[in-house]
Amino acid sequence: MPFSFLHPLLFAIGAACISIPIIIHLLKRRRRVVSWGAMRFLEEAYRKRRRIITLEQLVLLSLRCLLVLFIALGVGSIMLGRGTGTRQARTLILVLDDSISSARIIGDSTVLERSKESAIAELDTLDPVMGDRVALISASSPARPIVLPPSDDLGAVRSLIEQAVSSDAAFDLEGVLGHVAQVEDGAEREGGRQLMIASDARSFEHAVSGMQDEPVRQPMDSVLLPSPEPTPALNVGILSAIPTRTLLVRDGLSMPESIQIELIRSGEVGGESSTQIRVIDTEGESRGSGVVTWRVGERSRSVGIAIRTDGLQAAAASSAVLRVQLGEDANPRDNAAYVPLPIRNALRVAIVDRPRDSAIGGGGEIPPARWLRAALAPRGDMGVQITSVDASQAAARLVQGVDVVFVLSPAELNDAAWDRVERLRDQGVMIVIAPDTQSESLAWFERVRGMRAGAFGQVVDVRAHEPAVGLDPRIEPASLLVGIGSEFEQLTGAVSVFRSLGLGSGAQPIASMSDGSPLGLQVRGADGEGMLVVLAVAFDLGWSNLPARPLFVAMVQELVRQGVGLSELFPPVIAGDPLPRPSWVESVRAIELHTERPVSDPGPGLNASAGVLALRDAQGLTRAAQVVRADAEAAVADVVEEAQVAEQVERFIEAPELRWIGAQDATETRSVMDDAFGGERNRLALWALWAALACGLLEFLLARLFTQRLLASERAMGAEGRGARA
Amino acid sequence: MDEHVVNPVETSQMPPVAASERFDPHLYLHPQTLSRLSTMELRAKMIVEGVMAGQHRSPYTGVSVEFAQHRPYVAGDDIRHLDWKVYARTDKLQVKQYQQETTLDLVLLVDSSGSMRFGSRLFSDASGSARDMAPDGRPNWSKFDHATATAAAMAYITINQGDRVGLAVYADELRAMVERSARKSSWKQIVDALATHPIDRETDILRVMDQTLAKISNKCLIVIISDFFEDPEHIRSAFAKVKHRGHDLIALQVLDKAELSFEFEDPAAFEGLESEATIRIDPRALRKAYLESINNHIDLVSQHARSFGFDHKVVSTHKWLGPTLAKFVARRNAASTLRGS
Repeated sequence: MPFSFLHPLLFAIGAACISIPIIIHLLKRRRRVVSWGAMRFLEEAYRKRRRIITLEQLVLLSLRCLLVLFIALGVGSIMLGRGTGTRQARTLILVLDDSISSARIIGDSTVLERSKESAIAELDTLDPVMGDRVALISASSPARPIVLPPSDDLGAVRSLIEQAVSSDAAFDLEGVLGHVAQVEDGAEREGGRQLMIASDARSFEHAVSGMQDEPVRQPMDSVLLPSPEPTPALNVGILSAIPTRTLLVRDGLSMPESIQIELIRSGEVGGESSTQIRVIDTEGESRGSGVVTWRVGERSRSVGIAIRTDGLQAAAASSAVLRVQLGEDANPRDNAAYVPLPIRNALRVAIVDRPRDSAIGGGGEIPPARWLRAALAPRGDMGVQITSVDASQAAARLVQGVDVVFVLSPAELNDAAWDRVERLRDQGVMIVIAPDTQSESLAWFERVRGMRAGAFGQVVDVRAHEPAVGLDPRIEPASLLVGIGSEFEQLTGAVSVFRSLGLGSGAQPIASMSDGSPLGLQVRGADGEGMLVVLAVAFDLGWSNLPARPLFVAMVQELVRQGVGLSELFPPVIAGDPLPRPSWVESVRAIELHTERPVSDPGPGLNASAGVLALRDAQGLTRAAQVVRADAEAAVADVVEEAQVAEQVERFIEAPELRWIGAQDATETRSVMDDAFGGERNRLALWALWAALACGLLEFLLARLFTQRLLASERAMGAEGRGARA
Repeated sequence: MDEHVVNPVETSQMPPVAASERFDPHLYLHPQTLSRLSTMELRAKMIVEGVMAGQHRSPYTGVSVEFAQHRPYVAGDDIRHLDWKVYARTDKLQVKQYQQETTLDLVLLVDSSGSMRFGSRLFSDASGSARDMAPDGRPNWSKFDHATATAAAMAYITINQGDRVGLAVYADELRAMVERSARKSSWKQIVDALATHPIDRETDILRVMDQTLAKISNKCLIVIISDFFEDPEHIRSAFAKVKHRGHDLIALQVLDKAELSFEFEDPAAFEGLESEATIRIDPRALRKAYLESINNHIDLVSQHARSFGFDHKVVSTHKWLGPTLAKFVARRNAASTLRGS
């Protein structure tokens, strides 16, 4: 019958002790030598008694060895019928779910706390003495191997489990499987390999369903999973929070500001509910608020919250940071979102053009730069500082410290000037390029294409429109002009385009002409790069009447403000996703809101927590703010069924056994383990100890019997005979 | 229990031999006392002194020069021995015959085989601070020590009585021999032979007896001092040869107390002194069988001796020599009387 041991090393030590009686026996034989004269009588007696003596000694020695053996079996906790033979060392791959879903509150505890208890309970079933090891993997995206390769230092692993805290990221199943595969590859011995996913089944189910590719199935001896929590809970999370305008210019145009918030509702959605929304600044001052009333079954909602921007102070770089906060619900970690809002006292605009008289010419021609100036500052400066730069000296004159560079005579720029423009773009300056009205050459466009290869079409020409074409009143949501969508629709009717640059497709159009060709293309560069906009129409009445139309002012203002704002702001990153690291970023610091105190350089996994990061350049200046948003989609609180999870587990785990761990409390988990190991172990070990006791008693009785027999025989002989003889 | 058995505790409590104690024959003849005496000669003299001092308590008559009987005078008899009083009363010439006139040669056969090297008593037990080792470096009082002391004492007594004494030290053959002589100086030779001979080899009493008897022409009293650890049949044959040649014999079987009691407790390896194989045993388990075996052997030796009219006595190395020597003297007297008649 196959058998195994819970503590095979103890058994081995105990079994080795069997040699003790034998050694004692041998030592006693070797201990003393007697030179004896009457050997002939001793030999004669020995011949007579040898068989009996040998038999008695063998019986006693066997009983003593059995005594030790049974004690060893008892101490080693023999188990019969376990596995295919003797128990092998177990390797437990413990995946601890510290994702955002683990922060969900259940009663007076959290999912994470319960997962920790389950994990520690399973950890307690391991025995490092017999070679058990454990690997610990943090499941929060990006999944991190905390203890890998597997270690037998269970105390340290336990401590690490106890220190785990919930993040704002999702369960990174693909990452987890990658680390699990490493454990398998690195395993040098064929011990039992168990995978335990100490997780809320909700996040796990969400992670499985989010996998795009069918994973390679990992072979396991068994899988332990927590039973899904059957009680539904209501949770509302913030999917996104985006300001209507991405740049706040003081003393500029007074435009209404609001934050567009996308909410997701999950769990107990069968009834009506309401959600409080507050917007506060870094001082804790309320900047806006609202209440969302959810209808039965409603799961998502987009809501705009108007905010006050007066007196906002920059908290990260030149951006103010606002915090959108929801009321309490099942999971607090998806109830907050941070909204950076770049602030400028004035926009600094450089216009690169040929030096020409800005006055209206005799033919009534107005130079493009003048049209642009008029649009940027129709009523005085309006918070816009404009600098004119001679195109032929652009390489030297274009310096850092501008927010936008308009290139109105691109044909005039030499290579050095283009290099300078490109460098500014790399440093986050918005570049707007309009066709050159004085030159037919389009060679400059190659440089533009070089700045953003692939974003613009291959074939570029200047097309004349006969008859003139108008503008498409529709604005795509991704366009920089989306903020003036309603005005745009109203003002496009009076615009006619006579000539335009034939821009290819491939980039986001800011707007389109009625023939479908783009009015301009916008390209968001790599992280940290400035917005690049190429217009198809020059600011010249020979190209279109747009400069003379009211739309021009609104369009230029919106183009600049949104472009500058987006150039400075990095797109929000979902917690757990890789952080953008532009080449100029030397360090990243977390901004503690409400205290405005930057913390030290973030360690690995910082992006697993929602917040605002300050991106600093080599000079230590914070040049951009990076918002990390909690993964609200991963915090859904819908009820999932065991069968549903089990079916999904089979997609990536190949295991003959899947055991559910009671999630109600750790005591129940413990009892499951006791049923699996403890009962049988104790029963057999007890029998072994009883057998040891029986052997001990029998040995004692037999030894006493043999001795008594000797003494009796001696008494029978009597000292009298010997005395008389002597 | 014999009152003269002295255990180690008693020994350690014994005071050094004082002058007053020298008159106690028990002390003189006790092996503990003998072990303190460095030379064989001194040892033998002490034994004899003890024996003589204890005569008054002996059940046997003494060996003084006493009248035994008359016989008719024949030509050639020494006229000094004529009994003039008888002649005056009966007018017959009668010669007075005394016991000492009947000389009886004593031949001592001392076993020097390996088994005689055994002895469980320590020299230090007996001698206290006086001596820890025998002159040859042995730490124990062996059966051979006891045998030689006995032999020397017997030789001393015999020579002092004017009889001849010879010595043969044997093992598997005769290894040393001192021709019979009544000279005082011969006793010194006997003592030297006993003191210097090595103790080893196995025993072959048949061969030794043949060799011994071949050298003896007249009737002798042969005293074999040995442990008799050999085949009983050989012993019986040896006794038979002695009887056939008309000699008298005393078999003194010298045994150690440990050999007679075998009171070992712990398992040990027992190695023989005569090239027997070593055996590892638990003594408690074999005690009964061993004692049966050795007692049977002693009984057989005794039985064989008595069957030929010889004396046999077990001599323990832990006991005093008085009874042994007294028996020897009595036996000599009896033999002398028999011879005189």
